[in-house]
Amino acid sequence: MASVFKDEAFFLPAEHTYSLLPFRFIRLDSDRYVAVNEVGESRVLLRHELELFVKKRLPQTSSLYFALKASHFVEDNDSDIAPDLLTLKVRSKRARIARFTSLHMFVVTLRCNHSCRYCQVSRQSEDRSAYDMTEATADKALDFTFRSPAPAIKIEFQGGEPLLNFDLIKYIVLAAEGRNTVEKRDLVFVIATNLSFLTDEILNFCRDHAILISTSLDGPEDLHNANRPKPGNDSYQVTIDGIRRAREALGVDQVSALMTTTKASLLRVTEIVDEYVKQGFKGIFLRNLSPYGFAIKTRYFNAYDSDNWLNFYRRGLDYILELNQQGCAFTEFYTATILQKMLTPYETGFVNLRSPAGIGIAGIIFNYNGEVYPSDEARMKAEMGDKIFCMGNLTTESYEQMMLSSALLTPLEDSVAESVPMCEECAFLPYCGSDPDYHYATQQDFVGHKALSGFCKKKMGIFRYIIHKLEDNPEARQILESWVNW
Amino acid sequence: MNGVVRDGDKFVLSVDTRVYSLEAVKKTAYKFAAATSIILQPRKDEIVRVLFNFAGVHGRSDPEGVISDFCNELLDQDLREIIKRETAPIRNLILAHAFSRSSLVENNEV
Amino acid sequence: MLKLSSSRLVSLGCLGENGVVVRRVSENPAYAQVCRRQEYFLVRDHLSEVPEGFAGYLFFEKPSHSVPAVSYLLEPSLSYLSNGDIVKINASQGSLRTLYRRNSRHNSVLVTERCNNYCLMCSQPPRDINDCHLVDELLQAIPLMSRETVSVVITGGEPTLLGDRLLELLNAFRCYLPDTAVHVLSNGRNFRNFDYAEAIGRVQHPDLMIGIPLYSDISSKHDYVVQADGAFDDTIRGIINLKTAGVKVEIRVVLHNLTYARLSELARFIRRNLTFCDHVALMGLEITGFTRSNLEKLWIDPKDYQPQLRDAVAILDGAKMDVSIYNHQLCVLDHSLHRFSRNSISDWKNEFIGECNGCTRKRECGGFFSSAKVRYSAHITPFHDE
Repeated sequence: MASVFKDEAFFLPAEHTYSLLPFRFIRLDSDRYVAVNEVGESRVLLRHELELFVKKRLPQTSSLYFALKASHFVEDNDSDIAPDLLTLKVRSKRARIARFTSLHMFVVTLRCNHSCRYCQVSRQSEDRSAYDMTEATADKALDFTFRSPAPAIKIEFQGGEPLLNFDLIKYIVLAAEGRNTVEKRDLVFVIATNLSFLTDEILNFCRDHAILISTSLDGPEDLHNANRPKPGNDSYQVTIDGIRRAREALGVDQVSALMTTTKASLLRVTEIVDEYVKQGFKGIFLRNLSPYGFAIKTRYFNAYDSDNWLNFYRRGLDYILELNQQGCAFTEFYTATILQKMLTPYETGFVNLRSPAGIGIAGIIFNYNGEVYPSDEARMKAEMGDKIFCMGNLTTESYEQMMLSSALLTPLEDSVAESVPMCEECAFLPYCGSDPDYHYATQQDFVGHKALSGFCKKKMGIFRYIIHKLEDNPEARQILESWVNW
Repeated sequence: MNGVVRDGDKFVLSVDTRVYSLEAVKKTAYKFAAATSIILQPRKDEIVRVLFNFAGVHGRSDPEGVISDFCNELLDQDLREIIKRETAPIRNLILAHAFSRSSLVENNEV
Repeated sequence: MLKLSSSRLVSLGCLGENGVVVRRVSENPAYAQVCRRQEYFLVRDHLSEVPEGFAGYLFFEKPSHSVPAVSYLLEPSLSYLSNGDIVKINASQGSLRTLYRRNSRHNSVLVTERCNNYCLMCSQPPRDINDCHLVDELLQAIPLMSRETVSVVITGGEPTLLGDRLLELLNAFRCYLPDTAVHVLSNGRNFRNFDYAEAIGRVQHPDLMIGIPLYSDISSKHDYVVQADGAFDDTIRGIINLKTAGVKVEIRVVLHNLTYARLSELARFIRRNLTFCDHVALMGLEITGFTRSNLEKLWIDPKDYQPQLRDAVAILDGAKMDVSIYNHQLCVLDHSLHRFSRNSISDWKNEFIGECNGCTRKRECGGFFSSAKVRYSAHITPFHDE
């Protein structure tokens, strides 16, 4: 008796009937390519496999075909669900953009006790009237902040050294909380501080109002102190003591640290990572130096080219993976952000990995004098005399005037990577973003020629390195996957 | 190298536009801006002459390597054109759908 | 294994109730007169006299005295019946079926035997018959069920083939048993019609989940397992539509020789495309129904797919999805998977085998389907921890 059941072949699609779905590809290394679809799903394959696939000669029962079909690079007459799922995935990536604009930075003072080599904005001054934000300006900034449609709002106090104007911080926190009894936003406060002026009063206030502390830690003592000069040359010790006190008062998760990379850091990545591990941090953000402030003015930036930074990043990532293999759970946050774009259906809020650019959408900065900028870099640039990114002043312009100003919209429109030469065909586009600040600073153009762009070179280097790890090193893959925030 | 003529710091590659589109040649040239300066010269017989100049700032580039990479990139551009041609309608459809109607994921995402 | 249906019902009285009746059974001889008229009294022992006024009487032993007009003798295997259970009796056919057991955590109700899939491992092979009486009976039974019932599983066949009558059922559950979780086992295909998915959402059942099987990330492989061309697309569309309509969805994967090889890929597919689903159940094979005829095609010792299972669980759990492993014996599961294992086999199907003697972890174990005697893992070994 013939079986009532049909065999597997009956259900297969007809051979050579598949059609391609949108994807981009790029060379990964000397013999492999990586193909990435519209929503960031990727597949590493050989050049001839890619060509077979595109030219419709890939056997439809091969494991490569199945892999490409399952991640929606192709559809055949057996299934037409792929476009539906792709649509859904595009939507879920884009859905987040509408909900950003959450970070609002308040420069409560420009005064600072440090004279960091990479900082352009701080002033060594006692003159409160010249460099402190006033309550009237703060009120206007809060008006602006609560105009944001975002359900979650983060208010970050910046400087200078913001604790030099702690009274205004208190004023803003209390005022924001007052408004929030009606607004009902998910409100978070952060103080970005060098911890020099920490007092019990400040810590108590932070605890009572769930304020987070973010500080700077550039690495081991000598490196940190060299990067961050202050009278007494004891910035490192002050920071370490401050971290301990803040943790004891607020809890370990309430205190984070950021490092800035300088030329002196480049050969010391393992020591920098060790410092973070030693201080009990669960991860580090291996940042690149922005091309602003003293970095450009002091010609630091030239010495600090993309290749050197990439080596720094690669060695750092390798070392961190090694630490994890040895049982020390530790995350490189920048990689984790990129992995989220590579491995999940979600977008990330990280400003420089977004297209359109994150400027103005993901963050707004209110300068002490009432000027509004779409990013911290834009404010730094303004301090150097170029106010091209200034959206206006809180005292003279309305919210609408500033949000619709060409200072914001022009770079934003220019930054839609889907329409930028080289970007539009780049396989890494779904992982990347655009950085009009950077390209304006280096090429006097919001878009920039990507073949000459250090931004592009560094990003490509990072993406390729991460894909190599995921593809070629199962142990690394497991660690990297564990960094992803689902 | 086949099809390449050298003249001092300058190299000329002839590309048949019946094989590669002019668009593909232009896109490829754009990508090599950091390694060389390139001028495209059309000829009457559907051949485009690609002039590579390695003088000046590009003096440290390896001309043979750059031109070889250029040719590989040209092949890639050709594949990209096939993909783009075939997938442009469905891509537009997907994006149009994604940005219309209310979204499943917006509703359910936490 | 509990015997849920009996065809050896003997009428003892002079009258039988006409047609099919759905009755709750009572063991309370002092039950209020006003209540007892709708119920059947369960006569366990030789009583000198049975309490009067019940709609009927169920005896386990043939009484020596005269009996009320509506009285039946039950076979001993039904002795598990107890206060609050609901039975369906067809006197003319001499049959009884237990529709609901008040003390069970695993009440499942079959609502149709018809199906639009023909799965290679179907435990309840479909029959193309007119069985809409099942819904009628269930609609009678629902108001009789205890408000404290924790959960009820609606199963088939394919329940959505009932169309609007499924909505009627869900609505009855919402009205009469608002605190009871309802789990519908469906292949999801009919929800490709968004209006239908939306209608399910509009029932606004407070605790409803639709459990939908997905066997591969590749359409042709899924279609092969369910023996229906186009099923994969329908099912995925159904899942999306249900979630869009605000209905909870569980993805169910039966693990066997045709599904284990791409299990990691399936998990990645689910994580990437169906992250919004509420639960993923990875389930052992029940060796009954069609599985018996296809056993050589389907069988793989669960021990042999542990690497794939471990990987799949890590992928889904890593994406913060809720994952459970059903129907697996703890001793064949990789140690890291124990915390995902649930004791899920319906009590009336769950048993242990000789190899389990002396095992100290039976209580946590997934156990065996009673049908597992046909074939089970060669790696069953009792635990001897305290």
